[in-house]
Amino acid sequence: MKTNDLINLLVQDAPVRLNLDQALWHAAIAATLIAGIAFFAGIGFRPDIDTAIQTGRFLFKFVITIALAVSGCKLLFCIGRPGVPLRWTALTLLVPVTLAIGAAIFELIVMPPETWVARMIGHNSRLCLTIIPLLSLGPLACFLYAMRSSAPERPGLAGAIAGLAAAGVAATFYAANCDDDSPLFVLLWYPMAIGLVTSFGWLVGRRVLRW
Amino acid sequence: MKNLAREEEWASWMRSAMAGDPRAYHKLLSAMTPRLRMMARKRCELFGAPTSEAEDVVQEVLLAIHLKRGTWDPSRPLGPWLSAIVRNKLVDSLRRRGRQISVPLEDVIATLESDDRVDASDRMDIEIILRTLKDPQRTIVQSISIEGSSVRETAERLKMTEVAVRVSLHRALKALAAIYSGRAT
Repeated sequence: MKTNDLINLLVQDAPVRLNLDQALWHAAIAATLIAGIAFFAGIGFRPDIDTAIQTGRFLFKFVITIALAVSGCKLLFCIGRPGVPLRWTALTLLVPVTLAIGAAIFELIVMPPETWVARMIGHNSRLCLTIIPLLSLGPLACFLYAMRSSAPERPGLAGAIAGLAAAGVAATFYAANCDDDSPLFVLLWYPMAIGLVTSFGWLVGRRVLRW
Repeated sequence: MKNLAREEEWASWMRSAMAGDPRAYHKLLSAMTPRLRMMARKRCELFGAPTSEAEDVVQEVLLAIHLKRGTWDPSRPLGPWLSAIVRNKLVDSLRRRGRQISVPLEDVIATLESDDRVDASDRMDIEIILRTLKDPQRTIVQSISIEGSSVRETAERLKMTEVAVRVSLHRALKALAAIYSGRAT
């Protein structure tokens, strides 16, 4: 085909009203709805939610997971746009990490050492490692679908970020069911579950986000 | 892309194009093509791919610019966006070609020697491309690209609505991009 003929074709193609930000917002809303429906249909709140909600440890889990969901989404909104620098936005990922580590250090200071191991191991780790990835699947699909109209320079990385954002959403819901509230538990098991989802996002992203 | 005035001009054409001005879009793509061709030829030499393939690379880059133009934020400069798209596509497409030509040296020499006889702007055989498209798309591509008709004329001739022709054209372009990048055969 002659290049000029191709240009004629391109020029005749109607202006596409593709709005990446809008697509990602829709994906974020759908992701929350899907994870929420799956959560309430599948596991729901922990039985002692009324008393748990009055404890700082329980509430702080949400501070961490919501920080992860928000910073992951923020990065996702940038990574599909070629030529937009990512470094400063990527630094916001340190917010949930710092919060989790800070809370864990605080826990180590206020709690007697003989309780540390029990608090860290908890009794729900297997649920944590299965439910967070399961709840992430719907949100991950939404984010990847929206990202298909984007143009990430590194598709694998973009998929991983989509995984991170999806895991943030899923972990926020799961935290309302999990009755291990110690920051030590959160710092040990949540990142494993989130890491699984992120790796999965990377694998899928490498294939479906190529352009 | 170092020339700020040119970049500003291209950005304004791109804004008009995205707002639906086909003439501005034509100006933009025609202005870009010679530069893309230069870059593609240089890269081809660098990667040891025959320069005759540069035109395919140019067309692949043009398709990427077209299909991904929605990822450019009109409030940002065009240069970094364009460079990122071009670099990504060049690397991608040459890596693929590089792998394809890592075959017997004689073949490469034969290809190089045949360079002069190949029309440089007509690498991807239009017949092959058309054969891979399904029907309303094939006729539409043929009508617009080769016969130079507009969407309206094509719609009238095919007894389709303009919207249907546009949708079909857009799908055809996506399919073309997939053919070029080897994701479909």
